[in-house]
Amino acid sequence: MRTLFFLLASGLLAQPLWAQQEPAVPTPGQIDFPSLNRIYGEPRVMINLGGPLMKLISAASAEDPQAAAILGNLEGIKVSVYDIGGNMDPALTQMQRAKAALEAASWQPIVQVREQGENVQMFAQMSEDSMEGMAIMVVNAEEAVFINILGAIDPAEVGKVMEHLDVQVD
Amino acid sequence: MNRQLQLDDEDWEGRLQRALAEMPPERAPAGLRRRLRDIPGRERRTWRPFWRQPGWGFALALVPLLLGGMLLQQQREQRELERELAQAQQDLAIALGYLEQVNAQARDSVIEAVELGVGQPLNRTTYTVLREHLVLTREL
Repeated sequence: MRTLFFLLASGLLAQPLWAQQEPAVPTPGQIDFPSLNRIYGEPRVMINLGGPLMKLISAASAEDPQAAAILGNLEGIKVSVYDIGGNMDPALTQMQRAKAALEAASWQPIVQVREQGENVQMFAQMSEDSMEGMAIMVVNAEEAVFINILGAIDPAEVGKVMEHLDVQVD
Repeated sequence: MNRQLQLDDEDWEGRLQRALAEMPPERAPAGLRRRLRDIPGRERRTWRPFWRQPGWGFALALVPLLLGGMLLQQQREQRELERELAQAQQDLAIALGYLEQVNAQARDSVIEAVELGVGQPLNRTTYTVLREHLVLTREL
């Protein structure tokens, strides 16, 4: 059983080798946030989990069907976190550009918070009956966070998945 | 003296060669000839199982080595996959952690906005009631 799982997982990981030969097609729910490396340097956190790794995590969560089902709906997650050290303007400018691009692509705003020292933007791209992706941008005096989720997730279920993963995050 | 000795050596060697050449060929005994003739046949008839043939033996010795190598390779790939899985799970937890943080911030903002939206009319109503009450009191 274990060997079968690893053989299946190897196949899933090997998939991109063939996938790379095909022309890139924009995936629904995907947004390429503008890079802020030139202004703030390398991001403090950079996570890019693609489809094969998400399937691998989902397959490894088979003993918890609820978590496996939630993870099974996720096709990828990208996170970039920059330390901005109080210099919010360039990050806010990029956020406005990304916001304009999302609106132009018919993403729906879910939450928009503009407070003193804190700006949060959450957008979702919906198909007829499901969510295809989510874009979240947060800029405050300390950091700029850009998150893109491919697939569907109910934010209320995030805690369940984290509990299942049982990884300590500071 | 030395030259005389060398000439004698050459002379002896020549004589010996000539004597050997003049000797009549002598046939070996029939039994010996037969046994000598049978030697190649006996060698050919010696049967060995295929795994005892030198080539096959080498190939068979390679099989466990190949199997062992494949097993080691599989174990190495499995360890690599387990490491990648653990890393991916940790990355996912971090990503979801950020999502949860943003979600909490957004939820707080929404609750605050709703409270403000609901609270303002309530305050206005309270104020109106109080004012009307005061006016009524004055009239009385």
